[in-house]
Amino acid sequence: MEPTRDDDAVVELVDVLLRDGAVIGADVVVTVADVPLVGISLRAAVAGMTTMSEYGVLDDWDDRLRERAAGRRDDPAVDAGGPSGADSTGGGRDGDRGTRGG
Amino acid sequence: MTGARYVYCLVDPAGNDGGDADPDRLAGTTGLDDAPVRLVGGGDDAAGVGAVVHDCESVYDTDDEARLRRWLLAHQRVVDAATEAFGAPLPVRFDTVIEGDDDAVVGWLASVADAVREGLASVAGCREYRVFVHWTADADDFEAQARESDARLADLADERNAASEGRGFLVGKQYDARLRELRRARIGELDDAAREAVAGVARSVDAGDPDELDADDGVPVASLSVLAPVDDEERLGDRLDDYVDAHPVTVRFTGPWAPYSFAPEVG
Repeated sequence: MEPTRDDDAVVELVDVLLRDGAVIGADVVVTVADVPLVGISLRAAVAGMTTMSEYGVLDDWDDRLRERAAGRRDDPAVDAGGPSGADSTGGGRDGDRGTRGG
Repeated sequence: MTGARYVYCLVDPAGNDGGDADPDRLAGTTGLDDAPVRLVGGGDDAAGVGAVVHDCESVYDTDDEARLRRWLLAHQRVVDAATEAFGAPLPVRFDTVIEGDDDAVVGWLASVADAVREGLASVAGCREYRVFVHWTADADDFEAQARESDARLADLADERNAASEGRGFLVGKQYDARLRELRRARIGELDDAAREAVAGVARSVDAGDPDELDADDGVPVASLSVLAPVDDEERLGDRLDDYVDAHPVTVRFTGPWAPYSFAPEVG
């Protein structure tokens, strides 16, 4: 048999992405997903992803991403550099982290 | 914080699959929020190891599920491209950000170079494959077969049928327990056979919790992460075919992935 890399497989992989991978532990690192706020909000969101795949919502992700990127390039008013202002992180965010966004 | 680098994976810039690297395979790749990615390090100042990064200002966080999905897909896409370019990388956990500029990344790479090289060597030429096994036997069929082959279960069945109501209830509990035990043993046999099937090809196997599998395809038996040479992928598939031919199971075989489950702790 040959191995597959379909949408279901990618969704199954993302939990590994959040959990595994070389763990960096150095002073220079701002944070990894050890930070509870990040861990909780991301994990909760990922928990919903498996259900999404069952309903075919994962189809054509890349196409939509390209469309969205094209839309952003056409609209100079939209910040393309990181999380939008609509993304809240709830309480407890460390003020020393400075500006959100990437 | 002024300036940071989002780190996707660590690589051997000379290639980690036994052949030459092909850095052009990384060119034009974009990561989270379409950020352009590039290789940092790779020279003597980074002790010969490199990191695939993009420039950012902070860690990424969001409550927006759709945005998170796009980020995760982008992360995985970049690691894929890095694998095409540099061979087996050491994937880094999602949302790992190093504070500082390229020099900071290079300095850090130099400080952990030995561990990184060791980690890269452990996955050299390999990919991760995932194998999910379900037992497809019908529950009633199994019970009928077990009554034929297991004397204890057969005796308990007879005793239950002959007993009065109260005693019959108690014996019935013993019967159920014995049947459960036999089921667990059967699942264990199928699990052992699955591990044996992949062991001949794998450099390393990491067994996950099969109970995390959904039960739509049958009774969960095994959830394996397999680190195997990419050149042996066909052989791995053949061994899984043999396993499926010999046992009442279905197998879902995914990959090749970068070795996410086999990246060691670094730094």
